[in-house]
Amino acid sequence: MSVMQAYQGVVRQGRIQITPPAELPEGSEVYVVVTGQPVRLTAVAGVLHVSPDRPAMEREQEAFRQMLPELLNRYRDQYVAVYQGQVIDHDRDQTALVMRLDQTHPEAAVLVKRVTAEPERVLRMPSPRLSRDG
Amino acid sequence: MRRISSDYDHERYDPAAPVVEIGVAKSGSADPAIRLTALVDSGADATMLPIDVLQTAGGRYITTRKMRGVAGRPIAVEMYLVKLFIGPLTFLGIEAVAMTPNSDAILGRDVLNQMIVTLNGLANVVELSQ
Repeated sequence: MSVMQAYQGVVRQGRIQITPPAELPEGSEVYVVVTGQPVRLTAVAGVLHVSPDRPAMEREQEAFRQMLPELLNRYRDQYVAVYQGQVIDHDRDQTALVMRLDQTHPEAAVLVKRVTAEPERVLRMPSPRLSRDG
Repeated sequence: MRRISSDYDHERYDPAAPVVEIGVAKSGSADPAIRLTALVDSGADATMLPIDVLQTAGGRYITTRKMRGVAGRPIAVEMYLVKLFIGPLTFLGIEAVAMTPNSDAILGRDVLNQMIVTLNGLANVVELSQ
């Protein structure tokens, strides 16, 4: 029996871009459903900073996700530092860990994350502001 | 009990809004590297700071999370680890969302829930105590 999976995406310049990016199995049969609705970015999207280190950090996040079952066995409830796909340090004290990273990897994009089985919640920033421009 | 009192801001916000002066520093610092005024926003899950403030303070980019505003789908945001100062109070391990330069700083519930926060709208004063 085949399993169907749904992905969200947006049409840009005639191509479908899946957001967030996903690796689809080569040769998979796909169906496309067009909602007709333009994508609505969250209200605060225009004021968010994007670091040049974002792609590197996302790679470390993906490595963290892949390693999570093993990390739960070894470092549950600790903070781990992940760099180039490897755990390079860990500590129960997040501040102490980051202070060490400031010494050992001052400029590197190092992921610092708590090892927990709980899914990470989406942060909410619901406070709307009235424009004073009329 | 340590208490801070701050007047609402009538100039930048209409209606006037509760604001407080905060200091920001890198993890482990004894003193703030930079001071600025932040909006007291109990609707915000997290504290949000302009990137120029985070960089001046020496905050470290530690992870990326998803955030949702009042409408629309969640988007990725960058989290920086900093230490915050409000008057004599200090807050360690604050993961602040990075915003573009000159954005309003926002003090969210990650910090506010560590204090007693009293909004006196009639007097246009916010009081924070711990």
